Amino acid sequence: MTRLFAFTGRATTGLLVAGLVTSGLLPGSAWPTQLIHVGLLMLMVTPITRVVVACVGYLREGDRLSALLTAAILMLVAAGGYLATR
Amino acid sequence: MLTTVSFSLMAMAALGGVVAGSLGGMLGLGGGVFLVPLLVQGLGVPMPQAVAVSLTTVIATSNAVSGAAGSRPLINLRMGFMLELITAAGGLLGGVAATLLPQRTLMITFSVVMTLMSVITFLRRDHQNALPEDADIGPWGGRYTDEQTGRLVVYRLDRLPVAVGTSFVAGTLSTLLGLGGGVIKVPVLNAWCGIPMRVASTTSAFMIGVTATSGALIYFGRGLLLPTLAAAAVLGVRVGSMLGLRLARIWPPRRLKVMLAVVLVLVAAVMIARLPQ
Repeated sequence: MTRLFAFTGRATTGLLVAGLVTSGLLPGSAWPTQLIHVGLLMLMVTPITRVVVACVGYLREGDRLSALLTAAILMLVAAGGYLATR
Repeated sequence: MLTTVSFSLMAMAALGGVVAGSLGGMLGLGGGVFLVPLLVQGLGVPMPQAVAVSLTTVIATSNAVSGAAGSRPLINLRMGFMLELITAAGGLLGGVAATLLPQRTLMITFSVVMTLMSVITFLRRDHQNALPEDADIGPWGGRYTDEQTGRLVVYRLDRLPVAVGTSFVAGTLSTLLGLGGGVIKVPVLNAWCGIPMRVASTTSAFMIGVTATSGALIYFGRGLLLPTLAAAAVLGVRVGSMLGLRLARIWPPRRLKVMLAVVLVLVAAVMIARLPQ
């Protein structure tokens, strides 16, 4: 899992750099913006993925209190997002 | 709203990202308190777009700090999740209180509290939050090996009501003033609750990313995130956080606490400077 997060970090940086460079080389093209969007989305889902991974880990270890805390945080984040878009 | 981003604007955002990332790596702060005024007042970026970029850099800081090999043993996930839950509850109250309290009063109160915290952090700069190796760490404590000394550091979360109350207030103020909670939680956890500076800052850095994510996704979904500006700022954060993490590893906790005290005073000053007329 650590390797996966390290890979997503490098991939995010690569996509953002590629997006910025191509935006200079190909003005008016939609490609650079799309590359940056993918990079930013990868960046944004990483913290939530970490919480999900922690929650699953706690469940496997039988640490119910920590699993409950992480599940509650995920629900709050989801609820906040849902309420804010309404 | 801004639709095109010049090269100089991207360069300034990247520099702001370097500062925010350094603060995150060293002290567990998101850096939004500096980045938002820089973008809005310094570079003329409209507030919603500046907040969107700032939230993205907070996530980048959090990812960089919590993904670094040296940081992982320092992150106390259990304590972080517990306090994050309280912070989120405080955030809900902040959403309600935002319509009832004058922002000017809040900002003045916040600045006074920050200044007091700065003084306390400075006065307690030599205080060590380490217990004997066989000490009971309780449900929220932890252990890690200090990279500088090679010794095992054992700690416990003391004064739980203070930690819980502070997290609640941090959540409320985060919503009311658009700040990350790290600037409030890190000094309190370190000065009063027995948490070592490095644990408080790395755990805070991890959690601010979770807090910022839902907000950032909303701004992104509404098309308020300027892609090239955010990309430049995030790349700046990557550079800054590497620098901040390196400094946090080689600097003694005493120096980090003095740095934190200075940053808190600066935050208070920025807040006073931004007071609405």
